[in-house]
This record gives sequence, C-alpha cells and structure tokens, in this order.
Amino acid sequence: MDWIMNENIPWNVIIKKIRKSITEKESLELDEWLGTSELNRKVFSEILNIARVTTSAPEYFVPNKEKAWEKINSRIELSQAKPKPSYSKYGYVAAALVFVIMSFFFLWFYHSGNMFYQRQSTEVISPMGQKTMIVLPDSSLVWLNSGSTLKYSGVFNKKEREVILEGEAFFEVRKNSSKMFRVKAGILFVDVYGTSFNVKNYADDNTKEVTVSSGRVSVGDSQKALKSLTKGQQAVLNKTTNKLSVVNAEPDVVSSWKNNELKFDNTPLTEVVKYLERWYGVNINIEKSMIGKHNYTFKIKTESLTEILEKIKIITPIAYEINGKDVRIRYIN
Amino acid sequence: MEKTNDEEQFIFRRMAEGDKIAFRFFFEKYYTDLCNLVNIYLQDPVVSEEIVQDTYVYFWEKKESISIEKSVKSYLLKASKNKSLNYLRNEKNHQGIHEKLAVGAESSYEIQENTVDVKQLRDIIGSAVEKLPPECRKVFKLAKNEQLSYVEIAEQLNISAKTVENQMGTAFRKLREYLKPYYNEIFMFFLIYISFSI
Repeated sequence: MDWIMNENIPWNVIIKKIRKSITEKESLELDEWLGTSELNRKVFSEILNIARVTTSAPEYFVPNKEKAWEKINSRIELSQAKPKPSYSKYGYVAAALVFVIMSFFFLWFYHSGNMFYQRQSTEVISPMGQKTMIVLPDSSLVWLNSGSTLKYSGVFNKKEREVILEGEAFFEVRKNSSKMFRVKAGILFVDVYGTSFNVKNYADDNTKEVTVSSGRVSVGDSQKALKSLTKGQQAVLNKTTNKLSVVNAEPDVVSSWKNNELKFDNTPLTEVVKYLERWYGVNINIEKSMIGKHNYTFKIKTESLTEILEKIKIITPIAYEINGKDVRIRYIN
Repeated sequence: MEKTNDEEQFIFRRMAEGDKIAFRFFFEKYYTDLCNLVNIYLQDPVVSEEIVQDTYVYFWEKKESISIEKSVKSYLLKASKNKSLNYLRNEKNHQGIHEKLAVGAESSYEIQENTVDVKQLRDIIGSAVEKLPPECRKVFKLAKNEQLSYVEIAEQLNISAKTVENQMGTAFRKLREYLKPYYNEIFMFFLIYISFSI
C-alpha cells in the first residue's frame, strides 16, 4: 500500500502550491521532496488532480450538437476526395453466393407461403427515465423517448419500411424514393420518403402529434392520407373527437428531448407533469385544483427532479414530497 | 439505454463499410459526454469540443483500420485523451498549477469499461466534498476562491489562520481517501504528470 508508505506528505506546502501562495523557500522544499522518489511525484500529481476535479470542476455543458455535426461532416467530405472501389474478387463471389442463397430462400418462402420472416420482429423498448437510439436496417435513425416502444418486422426494408410506435420518437429517415417509410401510431400513420420528424403517441395523452423538422410528410388515419405537412407544421389528432388539425410548431422545441433537453413553452402543468413522469421515471400526483391554472416556460438540461420542483416552487406556491418513485405536489395553504 | 457490445460492434462494422449514419450513431451517443469529460481537464468548452470533433474525424478516417478492443466508448475516450495530451504539449497551455509540470506520456491508470458516465463522475466528486466534516467543508469551499487568503477565510469563519491551514490539509487528505476507489474513473486522463528534468 503506497498510501501508508508516504505518510510524510507535506500537505501544507502542496496546498499552498495549489493555491499559488507558496514562498520561494517552500517551493525549494517541495522540489526536494519531489526529487526524493518517483512515488512522491506520483502522489503529488494525484493531489493536483484531486484539486483540479474537486475545486474547479467546470459546469456540465450541453454542446451544440447540430453545429458540431455540421463541422465534422464538412471535414469528412473534404477528406473523402477519392473513392476506392476495391471489391476483391472474393467479394464478388460472396455477393453472388449470397444472391443465390437469397433467391433460393425467397423461392422457398414464396412457394410455401411461409411468412417466417414476417413473424420475426424486433421490438425496442425505452423504459421510463431513459432514452434510446436505434439505427434501423435501412440506416434511418430513430431516437426513442422514455416510456416508448418501437417495433418493426423482419421484412423491414425488403419491400417496404414500416415501424409501429407507441410513445414518442424522432425519426431521421434515410432517403429512398422507391421505398416508402411508414410510422404507424395507432389509427394514425405517417408516410415519408426521407425527412425528419417527431411523432408523439403516448397512450395517456389526449392527442397524437406529428411535427416536421425537415422535408415533407403525409399524415393520415387508418384509411387514407389526410394531410401533407412541411417543416414547422404539426398535425394534432384529438383522440376524443378524432379530428385532425394542422398548427404551426417549433420543431426544435418539440424534439428537444432527443438532445437531453426538455423545453416547455407556455405548457400547462398537467402536460409538464406528464413529461416529468417520463423523463425521470416517476409517478406524480397533483392536487385537482391545480389543473388548468398554471402554464410554464422553462428548459431542463441536466437538472435533477428536485431542482425542477424547486424551480416550479419559485413561481407557484407549492409543496412537494418525494417518496421513492412517487411524487406528490400540492398547494401551500 | 446501454446497448450490448455486440450491437455496437455490428454498428461499428457498418460504419467501417462506409455507413455514415452508423458513424452518426456514435456521434449522437457519446459526443456530449466526451466533451464534458475532456472539459473537466482542459476547462475550456470550446477547445474541448474541438478536440472531440478531431477525435470523431479521425475515427471516421481510420474506420477501416481501427480495431475496437473493448468498446467504441473506450476507444473514443482514449483517442480524445491522446488528442488532449497533444494539445497541452503543443500549446504549452498548462500554465496551471506547477511550472515544472509537464504532461506525462501515458497515464499509469488503465482506461476501464463504462468510464464515460460524466454525471456519475461528477456525483462522486461532489459527494466526496459533501462528505467532509462540516467545518472542514466550509473552509474547503471558501478556499476554492484562490483570491481569498487563509487569513481572510479565518476572519470569515471566526477561526485562526492556523486552523484554516490544518483544515485544508485534512480536506485534501480525506478527499484523497474518499476518491481512492475511483482513481481509475477520475484520473483516466491523468493529464498532470511530473517531468523531473530540472
């Protein structure tokens, strides 16, 4: 144990060094101590690191990912000057072989009418309080929000691209104009060929929402396509009236959750509560008399649930209790 | 949230074959965490971002020749660490704590699996400070401000300067003890290392 061996650490001098208040004499003392052994030097650098991480650990920051990606992307494109089609002959043989095998299987399935593939489906679940990212077989990207499930069958990307969503997800669909990409959200469906958009389809919400971040999407109910949306538009299906309406929305706000941010813009308390439940994986009970009375505009990044409730407390006279996974919010009388 | 390594290996293979979306997956998944980890040591968000971006560009350019031994996460972390070290060496930007300090080539601590959870790391560090005895913690927190002298801290807390000095010693001794089990996690960069060439 190196720890016991170097109990002669000149703490006071080291700390003065860290605090930049060391005298010349002490500095010489320190150098002498450091010169004595490798172990002393190791201990010293350990203490410096401790000082660094404990006294001045910088704030957690949320970098601008979009910008960063743009930068990385442009640098990559620059360096990708010469494409090199270097398929070996083995590659060709393998590809041919795969083709033969696939045709065989295709014929076999076709003739036997066996939809074996179709029955093999993938289900990705993002539990409460967690978010998941998925790369689909067609290289489309899906961010799956807390408390959500995404399903797709084994034939995804063979003939068509279809996924079933419960909960909320952000899709960045790879362009393929010959294969439509469809998101089924209960009776609602969203058809696209290569765009990005957010779909919200939680069972406990009164509405289903589709918000477009780029390109054009087509939204319909189980029978037919009803609305075509472009960037900045949001389709809202009211589950009680079954009416589909189109409004304007801020796509960045709607999909902020995928960047580990939650943005509220004049959002009613009941909505905020639902988000917080999913975000932190808790059950929140609010006093009935609070419903419909308060709207909030704020942003959550890496705060804890307590910190958020404290923020709400500043604007609204509430008290809260956290009991494991249960949170109770009430007015202060 | 954690994917199994198999799944990451699969996505990495797709990236190695030139699938940029697979590359994007790793960007989305680790970028923020890597920036924050690098930033703990470099204490400059702008530079930290640049370094992590460099890492990703390198990751993409070398995708065909990279072999992922442990996980993509630890690969990216290691690469970011090396780039941080280079940065400190080249920029001579470490006019920090000790003039005679240089940057060590390799840390004596191995990069472990699952080290990238910055929030957990911050919690560990934060709770170590909170675990200090109350008096000691007060002194330590005031001393974070380098402008405050021991005498000034002593005045604020109504104790003697000698007590402040002793409490600071205790604080660091205890922090070192508390953080000992997490050295691997905390000092995986181990940026500050002494070169002894005076």
